[in-house]
Amino acid sequence: MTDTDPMEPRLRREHGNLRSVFDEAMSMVKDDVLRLGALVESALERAGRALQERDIELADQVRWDDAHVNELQRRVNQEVTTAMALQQPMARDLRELLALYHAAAELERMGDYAVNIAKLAQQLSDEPEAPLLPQIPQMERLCREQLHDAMRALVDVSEEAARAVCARDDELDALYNSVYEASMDLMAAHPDRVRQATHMLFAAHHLERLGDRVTNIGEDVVYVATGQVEDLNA
Amino acid sequence: MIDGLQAAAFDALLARTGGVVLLIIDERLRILRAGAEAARLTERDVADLEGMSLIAAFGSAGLDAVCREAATSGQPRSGEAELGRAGSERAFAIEVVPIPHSGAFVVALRDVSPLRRVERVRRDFVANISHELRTPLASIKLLAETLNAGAIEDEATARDFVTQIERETDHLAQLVDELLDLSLIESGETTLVIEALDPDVVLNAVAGRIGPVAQRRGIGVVRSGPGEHRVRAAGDAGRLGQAILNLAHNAVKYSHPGGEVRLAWEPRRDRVRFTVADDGIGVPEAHRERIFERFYKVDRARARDPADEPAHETLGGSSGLGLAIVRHIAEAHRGAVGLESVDGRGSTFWIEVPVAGSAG
Repeated sequence: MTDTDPMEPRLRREHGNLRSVFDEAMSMVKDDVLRLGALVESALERAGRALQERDIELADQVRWDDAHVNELQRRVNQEVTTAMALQQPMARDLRELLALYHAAAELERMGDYAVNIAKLAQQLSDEPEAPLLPQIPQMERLCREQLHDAMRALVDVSEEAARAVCARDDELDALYNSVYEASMDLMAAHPDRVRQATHMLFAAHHLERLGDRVTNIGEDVVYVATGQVEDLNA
Repeated sequence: MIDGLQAAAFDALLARTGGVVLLIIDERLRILRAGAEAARLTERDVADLEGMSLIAAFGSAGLDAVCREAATSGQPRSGEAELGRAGSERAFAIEVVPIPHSGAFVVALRDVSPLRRVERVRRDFVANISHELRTPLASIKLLAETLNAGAIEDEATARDFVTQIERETDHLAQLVDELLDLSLIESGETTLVIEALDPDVVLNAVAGRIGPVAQRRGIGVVRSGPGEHRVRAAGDAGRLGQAILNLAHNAVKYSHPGGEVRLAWEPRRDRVRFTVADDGIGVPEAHRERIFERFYKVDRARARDPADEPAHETLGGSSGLGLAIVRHIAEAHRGAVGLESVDGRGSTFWIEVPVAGSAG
């Protein structure tokens, strides 16, 4: 667009504005973390559907697709490392890179939970058909809402939105407790359904853990915004 | 990049394409321009969207992938993705078209969720109907083969098998009848003959038909109403009776022996509400919303267990169509259906039709 100005310092001429180079690298990392979030959200939705509809093929797809999640996380790690080495960011920039690095690791773990749920869907489909405890689809949906909101808080670096996500984790914990009670009751009343009840309990457990990881991302956002490390999942 | 003329053309396009989400993005998948529909879908301002990456704005891996393919190939690409708030996403068809010599792309997103919903209903319907038809057919075939292979020589076995064939045939016939019925009512081809009906007479007819079936199962049928009254329900005697009888059949079917089925009615503003209550197994909360859908079953294992059903007794309702028929009959009357239930402790189903002479 603009002609080169011979009076401009050589470094700037060759590398453009250093600030914009860093911003470019940062937005690349951020977009990849958001992509990671979107992949995990989709994996979770499909794992939940596989569980409800006893769809073994869909569950298989979730298991295969986890490779993309892992690959993308590795790319984020590389991008963050490169940006740190070349740009040596300070203060909020550094915090943001660290937070993105950490969020990517959390998302990779969430992808593993989705895979675990997909595996449970396959095991459950081997059992006689029995209705899924209704709290499980509720938990799955809540997890996705939470993840979606956490990623949005990350986009906007919104401390308020991040705190709201963390506060909502209690709902997930309550649902998990209720699944625990319901599956114990189910086991007591129908000893022939112990395996189903156990699988459902595990699915709920993975969802509850996934929810905790979402709050960790909320804490990351708060850290970027304020510089304070807080435990918001007490 | 896009120039002023292109931007103006885009704005003109935006003004004319209501409902379609339009964007212009660059090859790095950043939003250059967005319309009001995009803002609505992402719950952001247009000004916020411009400059944002596609993934940050929409958070959709599917949309991102289609646009990336178009950007790397420079060719038009299409696909589909679920967009919108988590938990209430809708399916969107995606079209990405390059704007020549600009490095920019037009992205058009069209909401196809109603279409997908219809497709899903149709797919489920075909899958269900095949399953429901195949099960009795397979039984009949097996019984006939066994008879042919020699069982016919043994009179007791032969009689038992023929009885079973008869029962399965009844079940098939009932299913086919209900299907035809449902399609007639759904297509609006049946015309109801609306008369002013005495609710007591309607319930007496139902009690008369369900009584003997209930009695054989050791279940009592109790009738009640508000006593002296002049209320008349605006209904088709045959269809309304059929709907209440369907509910009564279910009540008997899911009652414990020794239980009681209560038929009652009451005036409710400009409607008459008929209720069928039982102390049976109830309907778990998660299923209450969908129970009036075709083929929706609370628990397949308990919905059709032949051992449950004494021979020579077609209780109905096991096709998964009974409640769908009830709902359609209610709707054809401009009435409604509903259910109150405590899991494990019985259900109360109700159907309402307008009071005769009321505007509704």
